[in-house]
Amino acid sequence: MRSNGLMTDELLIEKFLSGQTDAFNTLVWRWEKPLYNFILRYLGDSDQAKDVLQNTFIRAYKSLPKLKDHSRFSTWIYQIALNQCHDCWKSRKSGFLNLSDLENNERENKREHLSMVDPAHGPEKIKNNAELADYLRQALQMIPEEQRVVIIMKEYHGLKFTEIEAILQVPLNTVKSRLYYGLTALQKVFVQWGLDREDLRFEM
Amino acid sequence: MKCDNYQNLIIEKLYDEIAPDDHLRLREHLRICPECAEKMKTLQATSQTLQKWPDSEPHLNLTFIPENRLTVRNYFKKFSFWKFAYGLAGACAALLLILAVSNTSISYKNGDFEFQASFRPNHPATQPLPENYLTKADLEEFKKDNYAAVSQLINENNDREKVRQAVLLSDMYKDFESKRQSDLQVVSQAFQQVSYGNEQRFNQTDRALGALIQYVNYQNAMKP
Repeated sequence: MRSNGLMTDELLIEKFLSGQTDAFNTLVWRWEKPLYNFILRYLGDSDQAKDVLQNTFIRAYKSLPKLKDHSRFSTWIYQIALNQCHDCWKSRKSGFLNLSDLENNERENKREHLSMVDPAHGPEKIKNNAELADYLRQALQMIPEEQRVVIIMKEYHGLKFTEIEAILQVPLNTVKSRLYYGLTALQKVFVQWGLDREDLRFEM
Repeated sequence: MKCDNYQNLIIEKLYDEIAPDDHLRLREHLRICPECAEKMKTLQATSQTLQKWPDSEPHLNLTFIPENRLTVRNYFKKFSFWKFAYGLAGACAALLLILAVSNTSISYKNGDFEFQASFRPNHPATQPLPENYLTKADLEEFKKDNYAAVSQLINENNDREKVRQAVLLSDMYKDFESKRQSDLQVVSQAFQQVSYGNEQRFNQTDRALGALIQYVNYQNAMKP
């Protein structure tokens, strides 16, 4: 439960359900950054992340009256975001491209030319945090989806194992093992790219 | 115990969600197992590297505005007297306009009012008048006649009511008189019976006293 002074998420939901739309805007303002970063790290594309974030809030706006336990809002909103990510991921995999996908792909290709990581050799020298973030984005896209989502939730959102269990609705041990194997897979990528170097890790 | 069994404990330790007992067990295992100790270090390093990806701002400016869907609930929530009054006035005006446009006419025919509406022009000059067409003056005259007839009926009814009441009072008087006569007869008979009874008793008493006097005289005569 997040709170801004006395305005907890639960209180904002009650106000929204009593007809105050601005209360939902406060929820959007409070949750847009964490959800955007969650989606961005999951999909690896900022434009798609914005679309998915927008769809997530629209879905939440429509479905919020059906949410019975308001204290579960954070779990619930992450579940919606995750479902939207799955849908986006499926449409991306199916090869069906709409106009915005084509534009995204064009932009993606340009960026790939600029900063394509050679899996065999890795970056010679990482200049700044933004460049490192780009490599991390690509590294996350290289591990299985179910491991990636657990790593994002734990590393960047600090969710407890039980919270991740509730969002993903998988056993607790599955959450831990996905995290273990996900980190191991990432570590292999980092070693391959040289991202595990001591100078890189501690100088940035 | 195999090292695989410590995978979850390594993860729990990495994120400080390990139970104290498990922590002790893991520490003991890492002390004797260099492979797991190295794994622990590399996972920590991977985690630290991941942390170098800072959060981004979405710059989305999403704002939700209230829906203005016209539902029954919303309508009554926004209900106001003036809104209702204006609505009613508008509806009446629309109805009058429709009636005017549809050449509505109301006429009295054979004792009934007749309503007619048509969207075709209804000019009196172009349409023939009905056989028993009534004017306004006819209606006024009919109204007067009707009024006189009704007044006459009321007066006659009042007269009849008065006569009926007089007859009723007369009958009641006669009935009371006959009952009074019969009551007087009963009382007179009762008086007669009482006086006859008294007379009989007086005579008996006289006879008894006479006999008693004779008896006393006799007794006195017999005394020596």
